[in-house]
Amino acid sequence: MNRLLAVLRLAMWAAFSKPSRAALLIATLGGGAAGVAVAAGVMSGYAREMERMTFGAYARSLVITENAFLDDRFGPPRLADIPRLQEALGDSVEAWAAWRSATGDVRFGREQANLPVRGVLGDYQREADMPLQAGRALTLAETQGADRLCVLGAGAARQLFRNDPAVGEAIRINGISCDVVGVFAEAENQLAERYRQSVFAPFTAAARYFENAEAFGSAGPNEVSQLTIVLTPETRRRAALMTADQTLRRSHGVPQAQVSPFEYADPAAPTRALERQRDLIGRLLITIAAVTVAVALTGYAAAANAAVDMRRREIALQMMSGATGRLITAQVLIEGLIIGLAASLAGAALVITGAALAQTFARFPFELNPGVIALTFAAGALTGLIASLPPARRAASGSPALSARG
Amino acid sequence: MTPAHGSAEPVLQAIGAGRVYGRANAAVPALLDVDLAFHGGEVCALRGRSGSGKTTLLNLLGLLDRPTSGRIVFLGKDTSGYSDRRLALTRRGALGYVLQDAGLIENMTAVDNVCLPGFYAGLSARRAREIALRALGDVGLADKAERRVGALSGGERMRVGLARALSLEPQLIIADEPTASLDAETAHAVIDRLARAAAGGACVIAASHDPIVLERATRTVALAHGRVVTAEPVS
Repeated sequence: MNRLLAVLRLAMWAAFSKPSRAALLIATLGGGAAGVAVAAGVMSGYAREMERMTFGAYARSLVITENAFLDDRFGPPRLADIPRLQEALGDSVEAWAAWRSATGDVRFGREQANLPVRGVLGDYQREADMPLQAGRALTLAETQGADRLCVLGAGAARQLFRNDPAVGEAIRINGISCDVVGVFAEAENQLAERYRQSVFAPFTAAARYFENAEAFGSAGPNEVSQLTIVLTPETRRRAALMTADQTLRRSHGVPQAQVSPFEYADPAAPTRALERQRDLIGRLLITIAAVTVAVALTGYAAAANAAVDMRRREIALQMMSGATGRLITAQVLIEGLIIGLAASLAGAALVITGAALAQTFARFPFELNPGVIALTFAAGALTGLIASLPPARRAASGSPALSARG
Repeated sequence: MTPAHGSAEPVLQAIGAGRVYGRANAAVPALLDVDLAFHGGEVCALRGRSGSGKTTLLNLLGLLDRPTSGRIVFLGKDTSGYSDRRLALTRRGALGYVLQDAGLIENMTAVDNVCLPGFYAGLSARRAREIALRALGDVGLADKAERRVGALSGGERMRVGLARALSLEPQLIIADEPTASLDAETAHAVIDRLARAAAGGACVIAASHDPIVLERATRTVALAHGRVVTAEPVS
């Protein structure tokens, strides 16, 4: 144990005894560590971005809207379509929500704003995936009723109430009073961001009280602007889409030969596009990281070999004092490990600074997390260790008789 | 072979020891058929012209190299067949070396240089340091223990080398021209310290032409062309 500690101490000393040499070796290995940090950081950034776009159940949803490019004689989806779709899709339906949207003149005291007013029915909160900041959400029973209640998005609450509490107050939507029962927290995903400025009210209450037919046309009380069917994870999306379209065509009297009057948005499409982009960039980054590691490995091995040559007498003197070949090997390997860790630190610092600058001037998918840091340090340490094997063997094969030659 | 001084059992023996460098046509014999025995308590001076084989013999006697013929017996054990590792283990604590240029590791402090044999002998860092500081105090360098050896004078460096060689009180001390680059006063101090180690039971073998060393030697061995030409006690 004492000998191991002594070797550790000597390795620490030897690693930094010549600052210029240590700096050169750190720079050599630092390039490899930086390559790994960039690859891992960007991959992690992409993963984070995808997570942000996936937002749980919404990625598995069929989002049905009216096809705006077609003659609207068939009309948008209706509330009556919901039980038909549930019946047709059976166990594939995990949850559903119906939405209608309009813009309302919303006021509280002297504050006024034109905000989206969304009538909601069903499991709307699961789709939006928004945590509450204050109060409560509308219950399922409330969404099915017509009480004049509402929940505000974080942005809407700020516009109307600044920093004052909103829950318990009454706002006016297009002149009709409505009690605020809750406020959603700041958006944590892309979808929720869409609802940040919105006012959420029960579907029927929105249709009956809060929409201004003169300004926004006359959507029927049962017409929905968006119908969301959340599918179970094991459901094949394509098959579910075909079934849903056939059901809606039957319900609305649309022949199969005609273009569907409904649109089926695929919320997961941007994620899949990002996945393809990530895979492509990932392969490129892994190749670049592998090349930088290989260059660092060979560069360090060559530089460390030269350093061992320069230290031949120093090593011989250690052997004269009782060091075995194994202890010398261990010392050189530990030196490589120490330099590798220092190089990881330098490489990671370089990449973090570079990424911070890149994020300041451009949107750059880079995320630094404990996993990226651990990977960078592991890569640096491992590269240092592996690259030290040839110089360690070279050092251990030296003769103690060299100590006599001054 | 009869001991001139010290104990009856030799600390070290060279029996028909020879060393040839290179192979076949390129073979260069550096040492031939050396028979010598060294005892505890003696100070043996090796003499000979440059190229006579002194350093080669010191390397063999100091277990830093292996003979290509014959045997080296240390403390009754034949070391000729020892592996590098076993030779290193044998050297630990039992042998001390004083080199012509002191043989110090630059950039290290004096005390760290002196600690090295203690580290490899398995002492704790604290104990090795205690011993090193005592050894440095013994050669009058206690106040310069924390200086880097590069900042020390030639005489001070030699005394650090001496402290390293003697720190673990080895049974055999090998010295290669220990006073060659020193002023008379420092040379006297060095040989005094070596003689004191010998008086304590150690065997000192020093390659030197310096009269200061020769006058303190209990025996001289003269080498020429790789052979021992005379080996006689000093009267």
